[in-house]
Amino acid sequence: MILDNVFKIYDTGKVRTYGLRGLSLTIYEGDFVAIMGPSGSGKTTLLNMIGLLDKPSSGRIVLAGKDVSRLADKEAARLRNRLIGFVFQQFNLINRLTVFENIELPLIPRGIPRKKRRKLVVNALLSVGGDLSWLPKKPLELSGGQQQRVAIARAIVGSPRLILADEPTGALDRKSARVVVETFVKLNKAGNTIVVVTHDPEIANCTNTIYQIRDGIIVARNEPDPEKCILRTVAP
Amino acid sequence: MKASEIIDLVRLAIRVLSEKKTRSILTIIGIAIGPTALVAILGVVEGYSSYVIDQIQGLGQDFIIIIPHAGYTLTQNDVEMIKAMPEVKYVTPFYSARVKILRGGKYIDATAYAVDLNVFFHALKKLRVEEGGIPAPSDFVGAVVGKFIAFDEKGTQYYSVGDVITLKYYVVRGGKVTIKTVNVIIRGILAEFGNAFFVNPDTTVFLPLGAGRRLFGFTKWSGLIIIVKDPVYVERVTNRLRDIYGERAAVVSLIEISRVVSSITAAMKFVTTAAGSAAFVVAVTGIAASMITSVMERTREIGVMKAIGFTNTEIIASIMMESLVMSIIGAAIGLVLGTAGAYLLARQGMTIHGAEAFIIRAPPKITPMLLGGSFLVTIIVGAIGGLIPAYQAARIPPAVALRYE
Ligand SMILES: Nc1ncnc2c1ncn2[C@@H]1O[C@H](COP(=O)(O)OP(=O)(O)OP(=O)(O)O)[C@@H](O)[C@H]1O
Ligand SMILES: [Mg+2]
Repeated sequence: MILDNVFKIYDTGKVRTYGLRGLSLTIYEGDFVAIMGPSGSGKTTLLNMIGLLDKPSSGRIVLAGKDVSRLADKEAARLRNRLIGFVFQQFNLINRLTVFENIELPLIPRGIPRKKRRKLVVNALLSVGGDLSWLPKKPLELSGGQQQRVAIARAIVGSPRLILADEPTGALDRKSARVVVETFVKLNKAGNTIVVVTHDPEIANCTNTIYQIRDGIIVARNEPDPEKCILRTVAP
Repeated sequence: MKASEIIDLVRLAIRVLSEKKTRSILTIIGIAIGPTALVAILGVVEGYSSYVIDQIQGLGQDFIIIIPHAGYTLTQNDVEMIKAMPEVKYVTPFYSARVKILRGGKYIDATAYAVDLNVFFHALKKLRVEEGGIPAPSDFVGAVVGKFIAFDEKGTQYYSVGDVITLKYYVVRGGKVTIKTVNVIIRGILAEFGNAFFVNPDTTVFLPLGAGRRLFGFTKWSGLIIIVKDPVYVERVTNRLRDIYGERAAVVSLIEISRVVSSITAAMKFVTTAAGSAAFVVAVTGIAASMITSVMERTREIGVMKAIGFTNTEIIASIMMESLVMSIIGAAIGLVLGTAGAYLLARQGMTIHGAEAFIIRAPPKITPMLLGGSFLVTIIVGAIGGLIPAYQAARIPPAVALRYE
């Protein structure tokens, strides 16, 4: 994944806000990347660009060898569905649906038959350390950490190549945050590319590379310190 | 989109609707009003108008009836004068009276009708004698009775050919009411005719004309029945008779009544369709309003769906499913309630005020056309109501929808 001199300008009539100003970044297959930066620095904007949720005002984005900077909405949706899994700070599970129905959502636009879905859903939930007894429950019957694991299961159920997480532990206590990071590490070891936006150094230190972003550009690239990873600092 | 995906979208739509039950139910009620009104009223009106057309066709379209107003007496001179008209085939006077008949220990209401039976039965070809025959003109104690004089509604027979039947009737003379009793012998029983216009043959005792005077002691004809040579003459003869009798007698023709009924039913259909359309417009705005709220509440969720990879088309389809599911339920409820309502309304009957007031009672006519049409219109209404919210949902960029609190 290559971002080349990407600008994002939010033009809301009177004011022009720069979300990104000439950001360049390369993420390799199998990477585990953390993006850190102060509030308003453009982390979410960057993630939206990588995730094809928004289009750059200028610059080029290449995903799996394909220029995706000017895709039609429908094409972008198809690529998101096949290649990208999202994890959000607020979990963003649909509370009226069961855990099972939440996890199977990405499989619906693919037209995967129901019988096959069950297997995929079960595999996804097990690989994030979930419990099958959650399946018939509603998300609000689970703890925050459990809900976030369901959300990660939803993100990976369609075997995407890239997992994007925007402050996935922001709403969790330390123990639950640790479980989520553990899940990410496991998924990365299994070959998934992961980009995680976080304020939390103890989480960033569990990744392979940390990028610092200020005012819409990358200002530094740091080596993480595994000793300060939450997996070491917080007991399971 | 595959069929399996559409099933999934319907399932998701039902989950949305059942989460906000009260709102969904209220919206569905709003949707159901249109088809209910349409099916109920159009079914009844259609029932009346096809009934009237049947009646006119069955009862002889060449019939004209003259009923004298109080203070005027029809005589043989009138008969001769009308008979002389070139368009007229037959003229026969008739007597009629409300009577009570003892049957199975209870008195039932009936009409006694004394008329030239040969002419009458010749003109009303649909009147069929099932048992026995028609009494001869000289047989002034013989009668032919309607099906539901001899039988009750359950089919139990009380009277057979050859039985004597007792008729009680009231005579008002000089302000004094007296009850008189007359016995007649049943010579024939009619086949069931079905409810008719102003004569109901099923509950009528038909007697030869002479019996009216000799048996009942009637001194005044109740009216004249005129049969013209061809239905096209009805209007001309009716107008001429009106000119002649003016205020002294009412001149009524079945064709005229059918025209009155047709114009009334046409007006009713128009009013119903207009009112129905208004109900549908209200339904469209109801659906749209309820769903716009629902879509706004789910902005973030729609953002999530888009992030997950639902295309705009799929988002539109999923929102449209919600309005379609509601309108299918609303339409189904409307068809059931409308049909039930039609039967209830039809029991009231329709009163037509003419020279005499007639009450028409007819079962509603609920045709597949009416049901299918109402269903289709309701579904279209649902689709239109869902369009705006669906496009509204699809238009929100995913990145913005996800920021939505
Ligand atoms: N849809 C939008 N319309 C207008 N301005 C926007 C929009 N999205 C983001 N911005 C602006 O772009 C800049 C970067 O926002 P972004 O959400 O990427 O920051 P962030 O690093 O994710 O911050 P936080 O840590 O608070 O989530 C901010 O100044 C923000 O106000
Ligand atoms: Mg952010």
